Amino acid sequence: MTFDYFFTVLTFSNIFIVLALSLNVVMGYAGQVSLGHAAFFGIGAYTSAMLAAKFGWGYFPTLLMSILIGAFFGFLLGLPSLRVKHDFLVLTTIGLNFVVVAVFKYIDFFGGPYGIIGVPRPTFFGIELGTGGYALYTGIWAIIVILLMMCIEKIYLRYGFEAIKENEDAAESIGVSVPRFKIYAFTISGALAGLAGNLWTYQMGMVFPDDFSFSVSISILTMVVLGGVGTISGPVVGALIITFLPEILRPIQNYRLLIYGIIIVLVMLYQPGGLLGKNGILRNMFKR
Amino acid sequence: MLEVKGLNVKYGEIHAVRGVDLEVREGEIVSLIGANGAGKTSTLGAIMGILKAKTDGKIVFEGKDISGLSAWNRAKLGITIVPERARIFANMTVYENLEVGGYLLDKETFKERLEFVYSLFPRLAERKKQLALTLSGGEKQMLAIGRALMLSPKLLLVDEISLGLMPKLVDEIFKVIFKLREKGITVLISEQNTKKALQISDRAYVLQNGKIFKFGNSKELMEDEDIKRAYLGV
Repeated sequence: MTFDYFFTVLTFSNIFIVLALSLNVVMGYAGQVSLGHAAFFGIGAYTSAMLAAKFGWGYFPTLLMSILIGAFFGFLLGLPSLRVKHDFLVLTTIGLNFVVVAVFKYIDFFGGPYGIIGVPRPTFFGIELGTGGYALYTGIWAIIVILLMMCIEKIYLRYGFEAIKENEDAAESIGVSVPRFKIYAFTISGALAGLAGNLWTYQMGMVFPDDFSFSVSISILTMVVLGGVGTISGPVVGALIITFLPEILRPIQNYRLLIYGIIIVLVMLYQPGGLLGKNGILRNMFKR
Repeated sequence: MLEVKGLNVKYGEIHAVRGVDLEVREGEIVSLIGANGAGKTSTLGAIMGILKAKTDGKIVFEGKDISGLSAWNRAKLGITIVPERARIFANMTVYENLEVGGYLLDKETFKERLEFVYSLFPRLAERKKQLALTLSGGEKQMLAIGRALMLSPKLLLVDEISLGLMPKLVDEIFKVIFKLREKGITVLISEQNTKKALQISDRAYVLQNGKIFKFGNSKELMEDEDIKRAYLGV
């Protein structure tokens, strides 16, 4: 294994850590199931790709725009979540994913099926980041997002999220504004997925509609469910496993979705809280 | 403290509350009594702002019209509710339930409120690490009251607290509600257990088919022939 290869895989794992934690905000903390999270990832990625490749924007403005536009679309999805719940919300989020991919694919402005190419590597103070440098840079973002999650767990947001996750009626009875906290969750989640999209775009140098398809949403979901919904360490470990496992098991990579499906079923059956969730194997191992 | 004028609640074609007027003065315990389906829960829900039904009428709290405010804003003004069947956060521990109840408080105030709740319900302190779903029916009600008290309410709405509880526990919980008045908390309680409600309250409103049928001093209502016959089984 060359260093370049290792750093590339490490970069992807860092991006997926950010992405899995972003889904965890909406799903793990606020209890709103989203099966279309790749849509926000794609929106963030396309924002950066368009601004950098088509309009020649520098790295930091594109980073900021990816986060803001991701947050804006998260906010927009938060609005229907006030009306639809459970299965209907799941269907709404799946629908959103398909719509976003279709927009990227069939509208020429977004590059159509050929996507957008020619995104330059980010440069800091005139120095272009190499593979190792970019792995370090994405790693710093992963750490920042982990710290952000630790902050959320310490402030009142956590209580609001937990209350609406547990019982919306009970939450309202003690004055927790259910609409407000749902919107917060979707907006924060969208912003972080937008950030992950930006990191992805600059790693790949190009974006294609299928990079953000429904199967990617399932991969993100698998990371969160496998590790442990509602924990910080769970999605991190889930993202590491789902990124590194296919590299180790390269010969069976074509069966990726099948493997994810089996993983989800097994986790649901034997580790419903995830490996690092309540009573999870890994959690119990560390406790000892 | 609280004035409700011309309150109407409609669930589609069903007119559950019809032009209810009521008043709660500071430091009072007021009860809303009536049979199942009389409109008690809807009235309390409308005062708290948690109903998902068409509501109109005027609700004034401490001189301020709160009719258009969300439940969140009403809670910030000092109104909280102990909902029917407790509705605690079942998968959280007792302590976590209280933590969520006091989510807007700073550390010091949170500690004070927690001690206050534990002093009212020592059993909650004993079971603080226990999952709420494993509590008994009475303990769940205690937790629901404790959680509502975490936000230092000025007006506590209590909905059908005795539902499904054994008489000994009902007595215990009603004693605590009576104590709350000494701590400066005004209480509006809806109850099917008419005798208990009239015993602890200063005044009462009797609801029948969504309308106020009678109201007045609780002691006087206990002697009222209609009330005796219809609600006290005398």
